[in-house]
Amino acid sequence: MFGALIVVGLSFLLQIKQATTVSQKYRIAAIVLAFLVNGVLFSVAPLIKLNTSSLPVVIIVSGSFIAMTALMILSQVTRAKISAQ
Amino acid sequence: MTIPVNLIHFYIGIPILSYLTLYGLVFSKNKHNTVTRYLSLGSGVFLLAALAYCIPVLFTQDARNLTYSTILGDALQFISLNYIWLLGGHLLLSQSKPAQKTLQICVFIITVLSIYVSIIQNLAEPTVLKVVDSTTLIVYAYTDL
Repeated sequence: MFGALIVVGLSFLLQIKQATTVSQKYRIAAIVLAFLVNGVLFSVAPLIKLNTSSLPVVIIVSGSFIAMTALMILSQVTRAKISAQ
Repeated sequence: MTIPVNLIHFYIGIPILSYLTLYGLVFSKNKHNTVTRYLSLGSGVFLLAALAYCIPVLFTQDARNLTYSTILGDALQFISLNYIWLLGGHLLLSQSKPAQKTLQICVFIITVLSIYVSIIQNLAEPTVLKVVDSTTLIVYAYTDL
């Protein structure tokens, strides 16, 4: 099921070049990062017998959410700057 | 009140998931766009899943209640992934409607099966809180098809 995150993450990654504004690029990057990290992690975990409730997995997922939040904030900030100009 | 360390990522994810859901469903100019709709529905349902995993553990340590909330969280998580598969189908198979329809049916069947397997596994192995080296951990059955 988690393969969906990889499929959508890769589709969005291919669309980054088509983004017209920096704000859009940050927004797409946020989604690509979170989807690819979590998609790969949770798709591979059962294959390598990795416990998904273990601390390393929790740290990686938390990091991806924090990075996603930071990129979304950057997207909003750059959009606000463009609107102000 | 106990917060298991291995649920921290859900607490961290709740604000950004709320933002994605609200932005896509309420504030976005493109809210009728299919990509925006699937993405915000997917994040909205995953937000509900995160709440199902996170909230009950704040109020109860009863294994039966935690097992039911884990089953609910798993079901919502699979429904959320269902929306993400629909988005993937829309992005990759937009040229072929029959292929898109086939993918939707397959994903629906896998979602129902995943929920069924999650119920069986969680009832067989109830969710419990465990204290290891003064750190609280939640132990639950992991389901993925």
